[in-house]
Amino acid sequence: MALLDLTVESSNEVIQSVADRVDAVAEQRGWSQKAVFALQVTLDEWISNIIKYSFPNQTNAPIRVVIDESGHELVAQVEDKGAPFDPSSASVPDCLDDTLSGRREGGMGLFVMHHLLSGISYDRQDDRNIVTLRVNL
Amino acid sequence: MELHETIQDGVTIIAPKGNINRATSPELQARLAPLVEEGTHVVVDLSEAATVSSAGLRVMFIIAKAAGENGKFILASPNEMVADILNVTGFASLITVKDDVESAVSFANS
Repeated sequence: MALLDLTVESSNEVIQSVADRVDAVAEQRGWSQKAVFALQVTLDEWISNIIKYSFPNQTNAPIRVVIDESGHELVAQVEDKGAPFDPSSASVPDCLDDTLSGRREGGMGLFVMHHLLSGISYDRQDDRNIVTLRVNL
Repeated sequence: MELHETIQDGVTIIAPKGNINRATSPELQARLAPLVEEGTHVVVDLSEAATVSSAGLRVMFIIAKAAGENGKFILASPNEMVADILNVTGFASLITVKDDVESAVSFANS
């Protein structure tokens, strides 16, 4: 059984409830502050992305978050039934100059995710996006 | 996220505790916006902010732009991970960041 297996609805408010549950498991397992930071921020970025792009007008679409330890990594799987989107192959800017100056929209969340994660992978199974986030412990 | 507010040497210090994320950042924005609009010098003390995601960074950027010439807006005391995010995203070159609240308050009054 995973350390955390949580299904939440697609609203911004649930992001804090996910964060609270992650903090509780992190304390119990003694994860480093650095690992918890990476996990919390990347979950926020990715769930925000799902809500914004897959379910802009829907607040009750289920999003499943499963977190476990695997060797020296934390592995978080996030599942949703939105349109297919692969963050592992999406274009990520080398720097955010254009985003910060307003010349380019978006890109910051994915940039931050790629910076913090040791790995990110994507799988499409039936009608589900399954994104796996890996953080070094 | 909890927000603690103190005033030191005429500078308002807002200290968020917990996660500054997509869920909580609107509350931080709502607290900061009226202060900078009226020209109050504001320091955000990040020492108790465990995480800051891009949603939080966006709020800081919006507030810093709103502060503009009216008042000073300074971030202080980010933890190692938050400081890293401020640096890699480039925000550290757009918003004033000080290592501790004392120097942020001195800078605000300089």
